[in-house]
Amino acid sequence: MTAGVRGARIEFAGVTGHYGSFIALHETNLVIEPGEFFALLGPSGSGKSTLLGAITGFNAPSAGRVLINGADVTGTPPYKRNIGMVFQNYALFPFMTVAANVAFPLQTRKRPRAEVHDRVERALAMVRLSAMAHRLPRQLSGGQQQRVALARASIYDPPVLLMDEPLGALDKNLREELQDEIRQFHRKVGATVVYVTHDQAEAAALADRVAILNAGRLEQIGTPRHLYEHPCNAFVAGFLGEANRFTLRQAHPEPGGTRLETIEGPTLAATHAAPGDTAICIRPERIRITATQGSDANRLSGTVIDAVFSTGSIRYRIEAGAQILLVRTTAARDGATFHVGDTVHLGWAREDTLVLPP
Amino acid sequence: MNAARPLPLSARLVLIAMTALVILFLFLPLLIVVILSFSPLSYLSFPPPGVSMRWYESLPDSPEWLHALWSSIKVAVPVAALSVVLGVAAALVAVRGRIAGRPAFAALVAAPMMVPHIVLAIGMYPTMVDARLSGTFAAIVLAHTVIAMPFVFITVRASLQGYSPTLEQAAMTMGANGWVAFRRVTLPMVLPGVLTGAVFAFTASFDELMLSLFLTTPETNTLPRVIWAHLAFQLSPDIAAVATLVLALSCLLVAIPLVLRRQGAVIPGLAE
Repeated sequence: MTAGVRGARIEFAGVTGHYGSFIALHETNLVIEPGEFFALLGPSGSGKSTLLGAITGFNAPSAGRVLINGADVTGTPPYKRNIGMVFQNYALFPFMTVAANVAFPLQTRKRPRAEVHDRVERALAMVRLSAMAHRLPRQLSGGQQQRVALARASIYDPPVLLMDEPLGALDKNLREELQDEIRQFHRKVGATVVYVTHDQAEAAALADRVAILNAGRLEQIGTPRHLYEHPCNAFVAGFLGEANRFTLRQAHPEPGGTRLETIEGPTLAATHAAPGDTAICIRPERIRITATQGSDANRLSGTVIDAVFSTGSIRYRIEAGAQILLVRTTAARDGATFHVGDTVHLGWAREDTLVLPP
Repeated sequence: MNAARPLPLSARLVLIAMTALVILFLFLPLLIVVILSFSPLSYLSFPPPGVSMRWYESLPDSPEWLHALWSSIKVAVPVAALSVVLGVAAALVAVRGRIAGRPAFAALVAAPMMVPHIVLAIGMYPTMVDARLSGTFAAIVLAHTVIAMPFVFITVRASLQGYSPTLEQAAMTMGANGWVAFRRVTLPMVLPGVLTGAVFAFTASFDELMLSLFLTTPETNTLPRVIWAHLAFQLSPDIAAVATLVLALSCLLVAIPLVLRRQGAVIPGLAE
């Protein structure tokens, strides 16, 4: 396995997926850049699998073309595409040893025996499983099986590496550990990675860019941070991270920005609101929580109904009128803490009120 | 649920008695055949007055029995082979195929197991005559394959259902075409099912009488066919000896899959 394999550019041109009258994916255009770690994020049934199927070739799109490095592969059978894939449950061959599993792709490519042996040894060393070479998959832990799957999918240096919910079967601690592993692995192999997941935290932690899909449509593409800070609509804002939601009744221009009347009651302040915007979102960590009223453009007061400490941050639920707001603060040593029943003041800047289309 | 509570003694005795009766009912006829085969008499009489090996000793001298045994093997081996090819293919379609009406397809393929053999025989006899196959080995092999193939189909289908199709997909992403994926991944996984089905298919043919009655000639008479003829005309204990040997062979064959299963699904040489 040589570092610096050139990742391939993947292009979807008008790709559409119909199953009978059901539209799994509306016409989609998308370019994934060479060497990029790209996540397809969306709830189940959002069209992720259709996009993935178009790259693997297992489910040909109903219309449109898929290009890998400029070459149209839409009609190419899966085994001729030279792509690597890590499946959700790893799909390791249960009757083959770890070494035989990893050797499989080289054998189908009819590589000489000595070369297969050498490369399997190197690939297993890279995922730190040399000692497990002669075990059967069922004798390994979930995390080890996952690493075998990584080694197997990449041993032939495919320019495209697909991962379909590869951490879906693991518990939370192991998932986080393996996220680091996968990121490092990507840096080492250099392939373009397309990572399918419904877990927004996982996508944000791993990917250079994330595409958010919903009901067969591409909602937004961008870096995790861009999507979090500048969601294009209420779905994206709600899907990626937590958000406090209000519904816009009417927007009035005012000095310095826009005043927002909400269905829920409070009047809020934002920098601007576009025609057609109906949703208002405020990220929990952008809200300041204080004992005395501040001078922020947005001010609410309420009562703490719940305060939860979770590794490094405190998550409050505040009852403000008929609304319950979520506020997250860091658990800094000098930070003030509040208790259930305390009356508190909430404030946030105009810029942190996101006004979005539905 | 109070399944953990042990049954009262009376209930347990009834259970044991019932079980014993059922086993007796199933195996007594076989036992009688085995006992009769050791009879010293030259006619069938139960219980035999003594023990003798004379009927076993005389069997190798009978060209008729040897010829029948050889015919049966000549039929059952190709039947098993043909059943494996067709049964595996049908199971692949029934489990992995992208066709409409897979349940109907599966029912259709398994149907010859349910259809009375006499009905099949009535249909096959004129068909074989029309095809000018009547009286040939080909005719009896084809006919037996119809009833033997479902055994392979059912066991292989069950094996296939236990494995996720993503394994074959994984093989394909790694450069294996459909045939290579089948040979390197699917077949090793379902091999225990294939072997079990092959044994059942072999025994189904080896024990079959009804179709053989219609489709064999003295030249192609199978063992059950000759036993039947002897039963009808001679009724001598050598039938019991032959039947006992057939019974022993069947038991041996059926034991093969059991032994294989005990050793686990991994077949040595394929784990390499």
